[in-house]
Amino acid sequence: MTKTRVEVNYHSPVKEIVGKGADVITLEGEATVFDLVGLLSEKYGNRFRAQVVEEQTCGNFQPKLDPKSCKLRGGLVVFVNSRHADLTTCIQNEDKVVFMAVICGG
Amino acid sequence: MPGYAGKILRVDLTKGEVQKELLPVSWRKMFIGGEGINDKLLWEHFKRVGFDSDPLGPDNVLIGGSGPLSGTGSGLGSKMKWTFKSPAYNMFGDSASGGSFHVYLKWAGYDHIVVTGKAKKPVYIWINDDQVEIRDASQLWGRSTYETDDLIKEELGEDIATVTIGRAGENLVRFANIINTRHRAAGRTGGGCVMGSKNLKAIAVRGTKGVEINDPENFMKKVKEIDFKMSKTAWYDAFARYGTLVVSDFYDLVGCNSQYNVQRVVTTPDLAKALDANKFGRDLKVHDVACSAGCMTGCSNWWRIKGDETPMAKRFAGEKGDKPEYVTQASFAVMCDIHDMAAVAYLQNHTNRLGIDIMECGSTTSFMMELWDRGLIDEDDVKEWFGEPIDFGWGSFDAVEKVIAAMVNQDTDFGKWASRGIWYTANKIAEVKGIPATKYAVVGKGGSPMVEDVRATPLWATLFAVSSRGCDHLKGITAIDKTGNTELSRQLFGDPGAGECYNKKLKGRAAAYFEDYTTAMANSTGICCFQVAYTALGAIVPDDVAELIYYVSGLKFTAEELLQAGERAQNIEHAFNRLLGFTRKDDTLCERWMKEPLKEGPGKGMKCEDYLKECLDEYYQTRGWDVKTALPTREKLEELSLGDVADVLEAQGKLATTGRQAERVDKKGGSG
Repeated sequence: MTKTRVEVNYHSPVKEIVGKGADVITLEGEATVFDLVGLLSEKYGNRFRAQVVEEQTCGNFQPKLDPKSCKLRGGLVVFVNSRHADLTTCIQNEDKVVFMAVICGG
Repeated sequence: MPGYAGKILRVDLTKGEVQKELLPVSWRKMFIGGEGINDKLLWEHFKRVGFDSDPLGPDNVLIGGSGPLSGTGSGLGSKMKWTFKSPAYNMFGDSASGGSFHVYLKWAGYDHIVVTGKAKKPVYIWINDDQVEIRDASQLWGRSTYETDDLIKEELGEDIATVTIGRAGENLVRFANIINTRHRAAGRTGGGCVMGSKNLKAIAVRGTKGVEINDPENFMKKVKEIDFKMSKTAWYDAFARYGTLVVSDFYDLVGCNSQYNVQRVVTTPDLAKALDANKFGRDLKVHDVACSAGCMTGCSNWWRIKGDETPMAKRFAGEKGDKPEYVTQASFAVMCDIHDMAAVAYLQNHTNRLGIDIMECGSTTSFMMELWDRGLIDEDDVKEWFGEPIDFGWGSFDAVEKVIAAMVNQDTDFGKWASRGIWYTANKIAEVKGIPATKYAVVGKGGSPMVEDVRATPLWATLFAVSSRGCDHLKGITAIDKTGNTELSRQLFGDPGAGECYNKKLKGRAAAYFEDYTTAMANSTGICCFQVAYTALGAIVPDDVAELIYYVSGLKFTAEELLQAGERAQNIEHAFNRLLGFTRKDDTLCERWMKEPLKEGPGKGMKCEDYLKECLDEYYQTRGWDVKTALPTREKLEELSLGDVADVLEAQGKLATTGRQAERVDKKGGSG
């Protein structure tokens, strides 16, 4: 099976949970942002998962993320190679993925 | 009526008279409060004294106003609005700030204050609930804003709030700020200059009456619901922690930073490292601060420089203060390439003490740096214009300090030019030096724009071009495009276009919507535009605002009526500018943005002249104005119950000769 190796950058408020600004992550086979979030949730735990996605679990916490019942958390954006992405966006080998909150102006 | 103090306070500094009048109930429904009622008061004032009155003369007016949510303890009424004719742009001028002044003003019994005339000598206004006095301020003149706040509090007690001006306002720097509650600046358009022109050093207020709430139980229930929804967003987590200091990271991705006088839109790695918000948190931040007591977001930061955090920290050891914001970072660190957050934090305090606009200071300095870098000006020029040698190389802190000092003191050629703004400065340099200096001035309507690049973001380019108060982000702020929020665009416009960042789809229509909603309507209620603009995620929608206003005041609005109140304010502001001769030709952007393609970032190759015309066409069509001239139409103004505004425009030949008016002209046998 092919491997997808991506550079992941974290900015506030995700960076504070991960404890660092960047990672190199390897996924098995073809992958999406959803797959990456699932893997990072296993690596960094429920705080990461809760920071990045909103889940409609009807009170039943699922051990694994379910693509049908989750979406990116409000105010959080994901970029893949500097382009806006969502959970369904495909990621390829050597892509650069960024997680961050949105604030403009100031 | 609950939710409002119910009175307008008028102070005539020429006559030394104080008057109080009732706030018309009909205005509350038409304009809500804050920006909207300020605009109505401005219109009525200039209708009386003449729209072409000198903004530095006694006929200018300074209007301050709060909205129905202000002073309610809800955490959603943190902003007040100042409105006047701008001496920086010679057009409509307004400026919002946080702080506590408006809360005390409302608790003293006034929703709005209207200051006219000019005092013979420096004065300050003291509002102590029902007692209002004009007091001598000779001993305060020449003092910094912080010293002025201290001295007034020594005299009157700590349980007051002040707005003050510093030496920039006293010396009539056209873009001088009003400083609210010591650290909160009402900037950009020269409200501090208007105060200075009136010899008005400060206004102090004590308010003890509070404000009546129509339905306290449901009001607080709704407030808690909004707080809960807001606190669930990632926006809240980042914003409450560092405020706008996280913007530059995001802008690097979107490609709209402004390094080296807006020549690079993705910051260099060493600068990005110096600007890291987490680093600011570790090195300088002491604790969170809310700019206005009780704000449910509390996005500001209290900081202190220990002395060893950065290369320049030792010089500023012991300095402490509130903020800095992204615009402080962008103006000095990004535009001028100063890689030192301690220096940036110090400059936040320095400009607040002087009461001067940060963006104009940063833009003028970085403009000079680019001329220096290109070899268009040299040591001899600088010595002649400043009276001393200055290094204008990128990253020169000395250059920033000397430019600011020159602007405020105006004792050199450069100071006299720069105190009138970047465009005036560029033209003077072009004239005396015979170089194409204006080409490198990043300007809008004669002043510095918000310090970010808009070429990759057609929605922001449109908003900057049409802004009624100059050229910046606070007349229609939104993140719909930069976040790629196509879902919200579908909800609002039935099409994903406005959420697609790097194209012109729906950008004119979206610009009009966000002008009405996230600034005009928000600033009429008292809600901070940051809470409205970035929680376009379901946390605060117009229906929520309608409920809040009902619970606080008993006034029933539909979401559509609220947006229409915002539209009304926008139409008055633009009508004001049309009377001063501003038309579609003025709704443009500087040469760099119009003609130079971006060299990097996701918008690589984009330039504004490729899309701005079509965005503007769509914007004027959405507004219901004449597309060719941007003049308002009678139909639109009457639809907004602003027939009186149409009458004034028509009498001055500034109403579009289209639609019904054109028919009328035809019936009279005119050419139309």
